[in-house]
Amino acid sequence: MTGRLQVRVAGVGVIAPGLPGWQSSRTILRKQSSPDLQEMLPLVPAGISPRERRRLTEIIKLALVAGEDALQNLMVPVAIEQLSTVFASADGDLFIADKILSALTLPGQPVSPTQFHNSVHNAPAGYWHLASHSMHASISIAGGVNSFVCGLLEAATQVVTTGEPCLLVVCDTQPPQSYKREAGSFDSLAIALVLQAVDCVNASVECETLEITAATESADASTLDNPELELLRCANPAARGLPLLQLLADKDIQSVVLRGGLANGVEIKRVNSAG
Amino acid sequence: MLKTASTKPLLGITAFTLTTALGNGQAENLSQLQLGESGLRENDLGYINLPTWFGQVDGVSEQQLPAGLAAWKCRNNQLLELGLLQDGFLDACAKLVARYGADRIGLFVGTSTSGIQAAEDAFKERSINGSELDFNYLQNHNMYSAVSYLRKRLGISGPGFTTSTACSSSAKIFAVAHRHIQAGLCDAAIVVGVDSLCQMTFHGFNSLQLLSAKPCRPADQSRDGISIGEAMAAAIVEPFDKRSEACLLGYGESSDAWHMSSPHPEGAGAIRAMHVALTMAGLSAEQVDYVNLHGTGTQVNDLVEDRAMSAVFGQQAVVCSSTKGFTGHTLGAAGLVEALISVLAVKHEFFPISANTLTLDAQINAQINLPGSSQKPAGPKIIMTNSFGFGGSNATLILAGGYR
Repeated sequence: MTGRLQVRVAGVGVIAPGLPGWQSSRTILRKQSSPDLQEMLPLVPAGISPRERRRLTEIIKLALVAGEDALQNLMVPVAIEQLSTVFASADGDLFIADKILSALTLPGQPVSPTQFHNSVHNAPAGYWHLASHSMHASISIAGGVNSFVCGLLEAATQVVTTGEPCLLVVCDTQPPQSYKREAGSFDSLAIALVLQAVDCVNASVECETLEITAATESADASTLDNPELELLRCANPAARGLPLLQLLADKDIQSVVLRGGLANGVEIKRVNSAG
Repeated sequence: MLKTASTKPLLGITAFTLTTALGNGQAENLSQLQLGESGLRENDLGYINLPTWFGQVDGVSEQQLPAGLAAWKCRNNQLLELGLLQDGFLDACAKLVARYGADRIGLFVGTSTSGIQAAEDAFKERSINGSELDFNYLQNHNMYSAVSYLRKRLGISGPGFTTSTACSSSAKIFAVAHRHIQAGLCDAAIVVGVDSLCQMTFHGFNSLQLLSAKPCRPADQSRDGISIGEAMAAAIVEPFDKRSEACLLGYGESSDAWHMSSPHPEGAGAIRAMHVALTMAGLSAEQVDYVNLHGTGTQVNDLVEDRAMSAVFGQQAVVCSSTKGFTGHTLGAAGLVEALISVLAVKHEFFPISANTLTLDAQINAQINLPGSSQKPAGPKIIMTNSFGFGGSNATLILAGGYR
């Protein structure tokens, strides 16, 4: 990699069973203690009306709530309607795929029109922009088990090439029964990051600056000490980003290595603001 | 080549290919476009019981995949492989790897439904036999399928992922490639758009009452819906130099923030995408010679895009057409297919007509290039192409010719 890819983290969000938002999760991640809650809290995206909310599937709600969590934890003001977005998911909405594929086996193939337009990979993004009124660019991507790193690289390249802030949301939900054999079985999880340029005017010293570089061939991927979280990291593609959240939660961690994105993966280093 | 000093190519296109209902590779597509022959045909698929027309690529189901990649076999990857074999594209990829190194090449694919057709067959099988679902989810249905296939097929290890934003998917990968190259993550990229016929899109669009029972007729007063098509399109993008056959001048991305399946009534998101692309290219609207419209052929979409065109181009007479009457709406592949049709138009100096459009809708103000209209003295030099998708995802590209 030739360039220095540096971004500032202005906000963090995380939603999973046991990780109900960044504020309470940062302690869990710092101490690597066992998450207390085993049940996912109800997912209630504030930006969507109750009537509309009923039509949303789990992945859409999960992505929206994680994004809202990151916006609630901003260390500097960022206008929600000015945010570009990157949504990444390995599997997308297999719950809807399962429903549509089942409908196609029935006489008359009764595919629901709402399910069809919600089946697009960019459905969470569409609802986010509906709710936030942001007309800025949005992209929805899939990078297999490396979807977290792919999303991070896409969001970081947007920030450094445009100078504008960007919301990254990476989420994968528990696959439906039909897909468990091939897609695996795991708890749902979403991670959200608000990234901004290192030279932007309203940057705060509170925000961590991260530098993303190509990892060396010999570098080991970062793991989590907590066995439950490590299990989640291995099973849910979105949870591959948890070591980065741990770095953001724990000042003693200087760098993490994540597989994928580039040939040998990426190393993400904390940049000392004084240096 | 370029009309203003401020205009600087963002990327050069050094090789490209497209396989659509018009034919396999540049030459067959060009010939049908110049003849004005639509590639749409009336539904004769045993598994789709709907009155509709579609754009099918011949020879997809017979296409073999190389040994060792059998797990990836599904209609979408067979179409991908068939497309790779045209126009010497595989050789061009091999030369690219030799030039930059496998880890310095990005790989970005746009698709909307990936290989879901394999899952359709497996679900059908289960419903008949009560058997276990039997299909290769990761290699077929999963959105990343085509990228994982191409990594092995082309031996590429640089950054790469699938972009899936419904019908703007493969327009946006030019933007992704440009950002990754600009940020130094790779030196060049292969961009691919691929989407194939499947039951889900036929029945899904039918459930929204957006499927025409006749060949789609963009901007026609009698238009009543889309015709679905399948296609593969691919291009190699590198820093602009003497080898470039065409270039990317600008791109604009926006969100409607309005509705999941209907466009903003005044085309606000479309206007924004076009303005951002023009600003990035350093061009004013009057410098654009041809616009390849999104033009799906539904009542609302064509009218809304026309309003957006009026807002951006004012009273100027820029030649426009939707080429979906030729290929059908190739969904996630449409952005790249239509960008490359536009590159063919620049290279071979012709304006694609709006196939199947017989009587222009009186409410449409754009100067639609109707069948039978006289060919202009000079071909287009700078072109714009629009792609808009469900979820309010919009992308506009501005392209021009190569190094002269």
